[in-house]
Amino acid sequence: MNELKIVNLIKKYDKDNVALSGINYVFTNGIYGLLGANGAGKSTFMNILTTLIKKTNGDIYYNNKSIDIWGNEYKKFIGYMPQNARVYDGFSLEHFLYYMAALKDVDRRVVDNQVSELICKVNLDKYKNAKLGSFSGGMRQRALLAQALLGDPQIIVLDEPTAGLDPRERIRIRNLISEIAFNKIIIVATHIVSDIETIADNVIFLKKGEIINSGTVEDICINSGINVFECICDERELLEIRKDHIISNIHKEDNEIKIRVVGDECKNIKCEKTTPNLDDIYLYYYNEEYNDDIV
Amino acid sequence: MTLFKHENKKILSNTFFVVVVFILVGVNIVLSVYESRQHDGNKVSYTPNEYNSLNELIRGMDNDKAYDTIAQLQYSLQKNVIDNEEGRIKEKKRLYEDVASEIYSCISYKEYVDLIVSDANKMIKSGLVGSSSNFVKRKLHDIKIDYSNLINTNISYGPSKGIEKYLSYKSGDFILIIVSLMIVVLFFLRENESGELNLYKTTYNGTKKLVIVKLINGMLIVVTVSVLFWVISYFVISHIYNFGDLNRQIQSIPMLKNSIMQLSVKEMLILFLGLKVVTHVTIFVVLFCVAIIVKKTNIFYFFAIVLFAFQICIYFCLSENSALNFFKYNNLYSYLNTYNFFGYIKINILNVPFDFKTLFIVIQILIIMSCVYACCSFCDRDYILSVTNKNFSIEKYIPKHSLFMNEVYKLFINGKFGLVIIVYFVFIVLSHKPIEKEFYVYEDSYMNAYLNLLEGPVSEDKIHFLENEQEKFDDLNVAFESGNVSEELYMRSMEAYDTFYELYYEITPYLVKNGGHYIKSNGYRLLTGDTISCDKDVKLAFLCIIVLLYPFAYLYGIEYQSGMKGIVSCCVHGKKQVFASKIILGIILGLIVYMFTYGLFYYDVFNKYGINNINSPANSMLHLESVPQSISILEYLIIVSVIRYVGIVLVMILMIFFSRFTKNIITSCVFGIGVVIMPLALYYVGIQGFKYFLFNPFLIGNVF
Repeated sequence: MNELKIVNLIKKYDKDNVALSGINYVFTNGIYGLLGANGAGKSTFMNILTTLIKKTNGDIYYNNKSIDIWGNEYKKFIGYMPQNARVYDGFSLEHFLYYMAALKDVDRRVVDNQVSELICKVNLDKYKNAKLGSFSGGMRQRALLAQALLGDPQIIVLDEPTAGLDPRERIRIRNLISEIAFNKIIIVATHIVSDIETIADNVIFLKKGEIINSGTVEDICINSGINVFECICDERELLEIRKDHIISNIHKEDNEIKIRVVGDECKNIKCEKTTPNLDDIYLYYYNEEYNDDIV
Repeated sequence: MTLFKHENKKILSNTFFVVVVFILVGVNIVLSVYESRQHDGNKVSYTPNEYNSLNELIRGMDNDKAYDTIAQLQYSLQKNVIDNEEGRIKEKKRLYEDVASEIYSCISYKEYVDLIVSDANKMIKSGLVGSSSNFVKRKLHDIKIDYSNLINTNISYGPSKGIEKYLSYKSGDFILIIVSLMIVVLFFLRENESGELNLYKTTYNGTKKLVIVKLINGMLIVVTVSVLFWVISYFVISHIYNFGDLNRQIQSIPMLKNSIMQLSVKEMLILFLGLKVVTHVTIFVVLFCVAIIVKKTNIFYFFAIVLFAFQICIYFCLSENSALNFFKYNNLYSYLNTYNFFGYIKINILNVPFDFKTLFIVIQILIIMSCVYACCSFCDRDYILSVTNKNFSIEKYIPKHSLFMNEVYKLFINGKFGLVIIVYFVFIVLSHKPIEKEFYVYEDSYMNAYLNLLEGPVSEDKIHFLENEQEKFDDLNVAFESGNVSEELYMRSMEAYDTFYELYYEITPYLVKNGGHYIKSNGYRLLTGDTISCDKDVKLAFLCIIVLLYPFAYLYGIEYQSGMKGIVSCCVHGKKQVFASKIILGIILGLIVYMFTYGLFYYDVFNKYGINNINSPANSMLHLESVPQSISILEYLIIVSVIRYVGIVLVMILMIFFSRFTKNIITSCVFGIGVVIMPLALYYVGIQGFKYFLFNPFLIGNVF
């Protein structure tokens, strides 16, 4: 069982710019969804986990040993897939994976097998000799996922793995992540809440450098303490409600409008309380960070 | 019109394009200065100021008077040498010879034309040139008629050196081709590749109209930039060399002596500018057409290179009188040699000689029209053109597990630097002009004769020998003054005196004082930064840095630009080993380019002048007085080479810093141009303060 323990992790870029202010968390095998608005500290958190930037304070323990003690060896346990990397256009997929294997110091005896297995796993075997520059967005994301899995890392950090993909590609990537999750810590940062809802065992909400909530999707939805109402109204009433409430969904049906209101109470008479989903919770937490209304 | 306005705004508001054009304007100025100050391959050369002053002296004189004045100056120069007066004797001698030959070219114009007409007549009558349907025979008939009209033409002299430099200025053309390439890539291919053109396809106006608007817009920009560049070059070169009276006939310029056009120099320069502009518009339209057909940037570059290489080959391989000379002269490279328009060229079309001037215009108009038609036909077609063989991949030959070889692949194949370096090597070889030993220069042969006797350390015997020589010259002088020796014999005997003077009164006291040796220094002077080789040092440094700037910026820039930095850095070997691989690659690459750039020059010098006395003290040469006596010429050359190479490595480190700071390859290159290339350029244009500025002392090397 892998364990990644975060203890009082602090990152300050300068005196007034605190990106992470004392994060404590323990990751064990499973998929973790990292949710947060822009500037919440997700990227900083992931960059520290992947050793791309240095922490200001606190510690990270992998299997009870500080990553500072692990040193460069720690990188052998890390697989990282950044957001929207363009990769090297002139490399073929196979060449790219062999290059990454060399960078990751993967044992030469297993490289051939690993590369061909991963190419099959991400369903790109037909394109293994094609240049990455000719790949579509989805194919490129799958290639990036394949490189993250090279060397059988135990901690896999994925930044927006499904951003910009069509539904078919998104489902394919989601399924892949679920397939590889066995016996590994997988941390997925995304803005697409439905992806997290589908695959994550645990969800972490980050806000202004702090974890404001975490737990399984079910636990969070039931125990968040956030009220959600489903209401039926007309257009005039909708305008009134929008002034004071967060609206997570609007659906027009015949002459009436069905809306989903997130908040402690709803003044509308035709309201019915319902269980919140992750979208509602996300909106509740981060509404103030977005000035625009949801339409 | 609105579409046109928007397209225009798109180009003019593109910061990258505007900045690059401004940089290229600066480069054009520097290159105009550089090319106009080139010494025509002569070791002994005078300055433009000396040339201008002499022409000022003979201004307003008729041809004969001017010729006599120069003859008198030549005589008194010889006299000065005899009287031990100091001065740039060799340079002045060359200057007088050149100006005299320019004047004589005007004086003898009538005989020149007579000779052409009578030779043409003789050849026609001799029957050596074959039947009357033969191209050469028809051409001879034309020559007879065309030149007969010029038999009574009087040509007045005017300084021509600057005009010749302006007409044959090549770098401006290459810079303008870069501008055309940039317009095509930035405002057509990039939009096509980013899918914007597909979006426009769905609009009411469609692609065809848009492509035509882009084409017209590009043509207008090319016209504007061409006029700007050539007008700037005109002012720069005419500032360096006096162009003289612009109302004289163009036949007064030796380069255009064979012209049959009745034009003044002013009219010719205006026409020249117009023809240059037309040629660059043609080149732009051809490039645009290639882009429309191939649709992809990398394939476009490939075809553009192949197109120009093919045309250059044809131009140089076909003979003037070949049955295929149509292709020699009617191609883009030939059009860039625009001064050909004013010369006397007949094109062979089915054995009939056609006037090149007419074809120059007609063919270019036809090329433009065909390309515009092709653009309209191909812009809507959907197809993918590939020039790569899918079964062949260089990747197969790259060791998969070697980080270093992967870095090599990244730079050479992914970054296309392999192509750049091949083009560079071909350019170096093709542009290399072997050094000619000037045996016809009397001074060199006299100096060689003396040094054959004196080579080695200074000794009593050698000084005694020189004293004896001086006595012989003194005796000759006395004999001449007393009338015992004829003037002709005296002048011939005294030809060696200026060389002897230099050896006895300048070199020997210097060598005695500094402990140097008598050496044949012509070759070594070329390598050690004497005034005659200073330009060469800057030029080679320029070439080296220009070709290395991009790969140095690419080494790290690609990681940031491709977004791979994060992935690579969190790998076990992603930091130290990758850094080491990149640095080693940069060092090796710098060494290869450096050795190739300088190697050919060094080889040429050693091959022509030999390596005699290479172990003599470097300070045996007057310009290396400050070098300690213990350092030999060989050691000095090694030190200078190492210093230059250290300069290249420092530039590499700077470029790595820039690419990490800017996270963009092109921006890093722009910074590199500002910090490394501009100081070199400013030193070159004469601002001495830049000699020791930033990287200049390292890159120039010869700064002692």
